Amino acid sequence: MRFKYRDTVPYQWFFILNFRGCNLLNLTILMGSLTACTDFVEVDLPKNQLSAASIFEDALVTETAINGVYYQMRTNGLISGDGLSVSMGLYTDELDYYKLGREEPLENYQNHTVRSNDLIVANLWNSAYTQVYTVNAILDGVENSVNLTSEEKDQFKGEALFVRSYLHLLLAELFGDIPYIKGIDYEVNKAVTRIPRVLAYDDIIADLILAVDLLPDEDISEERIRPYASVAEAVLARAYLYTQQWTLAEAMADRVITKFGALEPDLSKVFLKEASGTIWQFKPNADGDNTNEGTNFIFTIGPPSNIAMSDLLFGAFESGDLRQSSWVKEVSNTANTETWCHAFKYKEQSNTGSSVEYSIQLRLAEQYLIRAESRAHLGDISGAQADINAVRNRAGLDNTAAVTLNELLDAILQERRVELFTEQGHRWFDLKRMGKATEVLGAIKPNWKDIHMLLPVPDKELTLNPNLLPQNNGY
Amino acid sequence: MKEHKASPHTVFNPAYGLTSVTGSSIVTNSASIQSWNVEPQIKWEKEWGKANLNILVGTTFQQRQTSQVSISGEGFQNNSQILDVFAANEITDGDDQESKYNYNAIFGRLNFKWAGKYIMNLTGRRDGSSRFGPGRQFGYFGAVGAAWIFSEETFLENHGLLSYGKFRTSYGVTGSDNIGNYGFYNTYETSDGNYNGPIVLPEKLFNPTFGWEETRKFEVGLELGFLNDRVLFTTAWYRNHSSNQLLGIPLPGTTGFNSVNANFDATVENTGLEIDFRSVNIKNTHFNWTTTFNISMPKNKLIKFDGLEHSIFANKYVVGQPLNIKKLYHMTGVDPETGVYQFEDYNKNGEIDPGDLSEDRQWIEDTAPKFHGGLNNIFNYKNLSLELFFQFKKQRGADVFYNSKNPGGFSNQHVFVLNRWQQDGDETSVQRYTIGESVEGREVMSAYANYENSNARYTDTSFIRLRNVSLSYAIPKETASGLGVRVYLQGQNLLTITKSLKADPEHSSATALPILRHFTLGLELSL
Repeated sequence: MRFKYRDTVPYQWFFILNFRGCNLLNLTILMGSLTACTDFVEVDLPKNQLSAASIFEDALVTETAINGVYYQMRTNGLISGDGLSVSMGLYTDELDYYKLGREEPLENYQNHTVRSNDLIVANLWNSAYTQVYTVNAILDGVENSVNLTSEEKDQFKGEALFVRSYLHLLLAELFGDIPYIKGIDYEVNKAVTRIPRVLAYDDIIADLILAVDLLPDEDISEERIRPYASVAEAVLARAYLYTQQWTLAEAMADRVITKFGALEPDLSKVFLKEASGTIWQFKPNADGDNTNEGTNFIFTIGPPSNIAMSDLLFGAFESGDLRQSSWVKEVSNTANTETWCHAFKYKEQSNTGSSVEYSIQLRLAEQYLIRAESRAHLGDISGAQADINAVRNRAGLDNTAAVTLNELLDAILQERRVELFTEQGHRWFDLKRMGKATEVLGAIKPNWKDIHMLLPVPDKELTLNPNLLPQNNGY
Repeated sequence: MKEHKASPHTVFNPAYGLTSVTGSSIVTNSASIQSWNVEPQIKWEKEWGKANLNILVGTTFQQRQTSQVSISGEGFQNNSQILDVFAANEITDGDDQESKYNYNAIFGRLNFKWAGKYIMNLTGRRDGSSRFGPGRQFGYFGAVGAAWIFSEETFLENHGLLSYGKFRTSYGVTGSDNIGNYGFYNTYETSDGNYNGPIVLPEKLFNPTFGWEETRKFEVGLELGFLNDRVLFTTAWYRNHSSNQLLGIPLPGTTGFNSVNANFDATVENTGLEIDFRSVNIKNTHFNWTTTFNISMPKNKLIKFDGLEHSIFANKYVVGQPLNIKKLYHMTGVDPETGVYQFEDYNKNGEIDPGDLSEDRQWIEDTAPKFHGGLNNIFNYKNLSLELFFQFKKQRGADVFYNSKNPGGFSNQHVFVLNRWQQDGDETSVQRYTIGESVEGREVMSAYANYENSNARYTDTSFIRLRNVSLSYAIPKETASGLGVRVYLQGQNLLTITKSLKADPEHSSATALPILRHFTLGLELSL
């Protein structure tokens, strides 16, 4: 805790000059002394505050500003480990919610009773646009910087553009038509309109292409904790996949796979901070901290107090799938009469002295599955099978038996389900994209309606900016 | 100013097994404020016959600087070192802040009097504040006033009853810079968070264009004295219009923040009537009785707010209504069949819409006091003195359920909750018990949530309170060998007359500790 400021008045000077019947001369002297007053009411910033302009005149300080957005994304919002991994896990068939009895916002995700005044929706939306502001401010500052070299500018601009496009991609998948925010002028941003999802993707892809171009090929952070070209390429591959541009998606995923090579063979090493298949990850706050995912998902005694993996997901693993034993953990109650399970990709629930796990945002396995899906659509059956098998074989499973396009797509959806579970809402995006949401969720969620394909725009946003109307259908 | 808060490990439960290394901590804080104020003035006065002219020119330079350093440390080899924060094993938090405010003004005043009964007053000023950005630092303000001391007129001279009479009026514009320092700068702040090293984040949306907030004030007043000023009566009526208020204007999340400092284009009107009355009812050698009474009737009203319905304030304000209103659900009773609170469905959509912006919250409750004041009576008989002070306030406010739990919830509640609905056909004002479990229970719970935001919680919380009674006796100096000796008995908060069920109608919370009843017996000695 910290003390609050207390008011005291240690000393004060006060005097009044009182002239009776003064002459003109005195008056001019007085007026003369007043000309300095414009300077007097201009004060400089105090030492603990940094002017925006001063930040971007030094590469090391600019780095503390760009690291600010990774801090924001790791701590709050879409990809924080408290974000889509949890809410969309409940919204689909990955997680079950156990904190029943009171009006808990997450329960609305489990039950499909999300409304436009939902607090989590508001947070997903607002935190994403706060993060977009942070990177737009960096783009603005770097652009106007005198001292930064052009290589430094490229690096920072590439990172900022990558973050901006990735956040908008996730927003477009959740909300459909969204405003694409490219500047920091609040007069503009307070009255923005929503652009159709397809046009938002034009902006997303344009920003990602620019980011790939500007970012260095190699990771300068040495821990893959700041974006470099492959990071933007990995999201670009996903953007092409989500917009069904198979050739481009295949080529982009191929570029990432070529650079990284084969998958890490040992499942138990996939979620360690030095895992070879990690493309991008968030470094924890302090050394010894681990991930939000670990904190959220792990519980040591049943029944679960918060969330647990659903029986449906646990049952979705084929027999012999090593991921079921390596990335899932069963927990029983004290009497040993009942069991539940939880995602166990991250093994550490709390501090470990020296950090062993970072929150992984992009993994190589996803790129294999993106390439598999693109190849299937392009008619490259054996290529698609090979990529599916790369993921299956690592998990101790036989080669896939899928041959036709539909079989391959089903195999890919299944593989994504058991490979990418509880990671940043993949399952939801996959069900939506492959047209399976109604079929899969309609069967298990009594409140399911087709309008649930999109989340509602926060009602407060619509009130404050009527240009965002209309609300998504059905809310 | 320096202060510290030391928490040696011994303040914790010994069962935790803490030692000074694992459990002792200290927070130190040192803060200072330096301010100075220079105010040179020149005054010029001239009289010609019945005319009197008085001119004043002056300037103000004012500076206020604050600084604060706080350091926290944890873990000490020995608790005897705890006051030395740098002896800590780890410095856990540190903060170093400073802030500066400069203000400058030039002002002039012209005062003209004719025959001691007609008065004119003109003032003008230029205020400058460092809280505003380039080009916005200065604001120009002024006022004009007039007064007429009509008791000086010949037709009222030697009037037996009226001893003093003055009528005054004024109109003027004043400025306010009531917003934090440095608000117009585009700044970054260092965060407590970390990402591979320290980080900085944008502090706010910056707006370099906000400037002085203006209030237009109009006032008329009447001062009357009767019977050689034994009875004094003053009254004033004012009307202030505040426009372009300085505040954080709410913005949609797409701007990256939820507000920006700016001049807000809405107009608020404050009007009010104030009456003061003082009368020496009885005055003779041994016995005096003096009565004073005051009452104020303040009122405020939002008179202009463009785009209110599309703002975050849509659920809070209504043009033409006071600022203290609350928009609430209208509770129509407890359904005798289900035992659940029922509400009026204003928008007729078949359900009671939830949320702050709900269209079903159309009941308007004004919680500002209608009037308030006090009545004081002092009786003196020789050396004995008795003083009685009553305070009164007319208002509406949230009653006992405020800050309480749902009926059936696990907390202390008012006894009237016992009168709850229990079976089909019960006619009562309190709904059935629930703890919110089960689907049905959750419905009862959400009816309670609506109840919390309904008119049912608001009642008349007006009160008259005997605030203070004091009886004192001064022992005559002769008896006390020259010493001044006074004995007194004082009682505070002795009696409250109110319809409210709250512990204290003056307090907004129903459960907060009310003002205590105090009795003081005292002895005062003076040389």
